[in-house]
Amino acid sequence: MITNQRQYLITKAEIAKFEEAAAAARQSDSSPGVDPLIHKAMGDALASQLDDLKNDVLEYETLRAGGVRQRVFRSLRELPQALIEARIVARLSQRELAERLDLHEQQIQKYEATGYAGASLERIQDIADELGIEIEESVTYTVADA
Amino acid sequence: VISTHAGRSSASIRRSSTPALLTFDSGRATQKSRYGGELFPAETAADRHGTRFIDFFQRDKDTGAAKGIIGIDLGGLP
Repeated sequence: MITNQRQYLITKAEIAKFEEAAAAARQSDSSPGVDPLIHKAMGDALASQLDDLKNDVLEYETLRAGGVRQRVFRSLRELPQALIEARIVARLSQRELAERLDLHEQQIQKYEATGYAGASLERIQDIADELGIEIEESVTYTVADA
Repeated sequence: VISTHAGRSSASIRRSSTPALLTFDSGRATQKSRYGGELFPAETAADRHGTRFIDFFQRDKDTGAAKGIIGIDLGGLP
């Protein structure tokens, strides 16, 4: 997942390189000294990775454009992704969010890179509040066997 | 990244009858489900197409700077 403009630009540059390599691979049915099976696999692999990168860029651009307003999550494990997405939708950089919370930019970067591992519940609440996240969720309990 | 000399890698893959390693469907779903990971071919003896992956995986996504990766010669494994 792309979480900031720097990653976005780096990914776009990678796409350009992969497109060049994929186009070159498509132009020939074989490579000198390479088994045709492997040659085809190389082309497929390039196309596959290119798809991934394009999807990452599309996802980020859609979020930045406000194209996502709501997500339905089934587990708290998905909460970190919601926090990241909400920041991008709000068009806040990691630095800007950090400044609003009187934190270092690196702290937000670390939170996002680690899926908010180690963040306290209080901190997560502060960030959700700052991002204006609203949660309307029903919580289902598991009743112990009698 | 599979990085071995041409010929040996393809022969090894053929012998092992694992076409999943050469299947790159929907985000390498077949590879991930069967092996819990994914492999990309990167023929060192081939042209620049294969080296794309070597370059790519050495690029830090956050900074764009070069980073170290570990190469494993599959042909040398027992």
